[in-house]
Amino acid sequence: MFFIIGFIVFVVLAVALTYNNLVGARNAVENAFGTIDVMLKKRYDLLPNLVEVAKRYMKHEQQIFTDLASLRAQATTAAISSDQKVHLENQISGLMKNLMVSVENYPELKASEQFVMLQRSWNETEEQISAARRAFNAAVTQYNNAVDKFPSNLFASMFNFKRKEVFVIAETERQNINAKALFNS
Amino acid sequence: MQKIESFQALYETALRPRFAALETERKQVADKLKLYGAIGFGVCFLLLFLKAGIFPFIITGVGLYFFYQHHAKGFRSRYKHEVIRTMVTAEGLEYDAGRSIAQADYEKSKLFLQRINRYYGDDHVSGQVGKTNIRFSELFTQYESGSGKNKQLQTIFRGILFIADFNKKFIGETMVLPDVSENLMGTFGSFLQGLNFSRPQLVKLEDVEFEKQFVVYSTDQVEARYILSTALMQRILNFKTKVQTRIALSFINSHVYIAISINKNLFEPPSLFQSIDNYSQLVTYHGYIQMCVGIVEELDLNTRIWTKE
Repeated sequence: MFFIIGFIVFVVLAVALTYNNLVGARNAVENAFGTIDVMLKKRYDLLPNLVEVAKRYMKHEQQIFTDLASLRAQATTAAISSDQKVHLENQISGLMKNLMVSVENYPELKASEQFVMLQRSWNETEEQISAARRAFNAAVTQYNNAVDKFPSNLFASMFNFKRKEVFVIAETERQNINAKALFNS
Repeated sequence: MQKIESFQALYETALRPRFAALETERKQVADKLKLYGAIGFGVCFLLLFLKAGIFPFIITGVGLYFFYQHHAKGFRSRYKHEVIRTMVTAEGLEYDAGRSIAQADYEKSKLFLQRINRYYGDDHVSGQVGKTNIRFSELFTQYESGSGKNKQLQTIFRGILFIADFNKKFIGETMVLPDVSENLMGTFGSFLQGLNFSRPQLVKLEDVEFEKQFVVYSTDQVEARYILSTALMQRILNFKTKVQTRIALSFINSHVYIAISINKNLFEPPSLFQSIDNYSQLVTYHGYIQMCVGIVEELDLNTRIWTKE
């Protein structure tokens, strides 16, 4: 009799623990995704300031500024899917990289203290975004492990926990911006 | 270690000229010691014929020991003042032989949580390398284990504690500690790391080699990755390969703390009976100074492209 009761208690406890572990992992993923959003928001706030200062000096890059403005407008509208968002993000990063390279042709801009400060902030947010993405990927990996590994995989399918995708960074994105080179060359 | 050529120049121009006076002093003391020893023990032998036993030997031994200690102390401080200081100032840094990294700083680093019973350190070096403020000193910390007659001092840390200004702003606390459990026990070890209640959250990083060597705890998952960029992880690994000893790092309050375990007392003169012109020992000491100064370059701390100046 005691054996049967003991066994039932054990099974209930095991199920509860595994379930809670899965929920915890899923929430960690959501939390990590939220952090990326916060960092991206920071970048959107920074972008107009940077563009504003750069515009004053960079006479021949008007096209980049127009593109950046329209991309930012699209990215900040609420009704886009996360896939679209990632795509827009990549485009913004790519354009910014080009812009930072062309800064070299404008010595006055390079000397502007305000611009240098903004550029530093930009580097900082870029790196924070990358850190947030890595944290997100780590959380997803942990969650996926819980979903796939025995014995929690039994409950994962029962309670409908599905694998999640990690962030894949486009090939062009993967090379870190070497901002030191941007400053010194 | 590295930069043997630059040491050669320093040795020829700055160190060797200082040796003459020190060497004369050392020889005088050593000669006196030998003389007193010879006389003292000679008398002891004579006393043996008078059936005085070994007692006079003990008296003589103790006397000579104190004589040696007294002179060695003065000689040591002059050696540090002349030789070690010259090597340190050649790097553009300041040297204080008697000082050490304060116990408060050691505790702030949160690298070692063990309570301390004995805190000892010397050879404090401080200054600026490029844009980065650095300081380091030798440290030796111990705790008492057992009780009553079984009381023993156990080493917590022995080596160099290095503190530098970090080039990124952050508010949390991140520790990079040598990995013991995961190396020995694989996945189960990693499970145990997660259960370490005296440390904040376990951070799993994507660099496999780094994960093998270190275990990372942090109060903030994202910030830990902001600090430990993929480039910095590689740099830390390279540094570890270079120094070939246990290292532990922590990133707290905009500073990086690095504890480098070295199991010997550094920056000390040779014994009074050996020539102080000990080239290989000097190369070693110089190597350790260079290693600490080199951390700035090694971890790229002078790159100030973020908002922190």
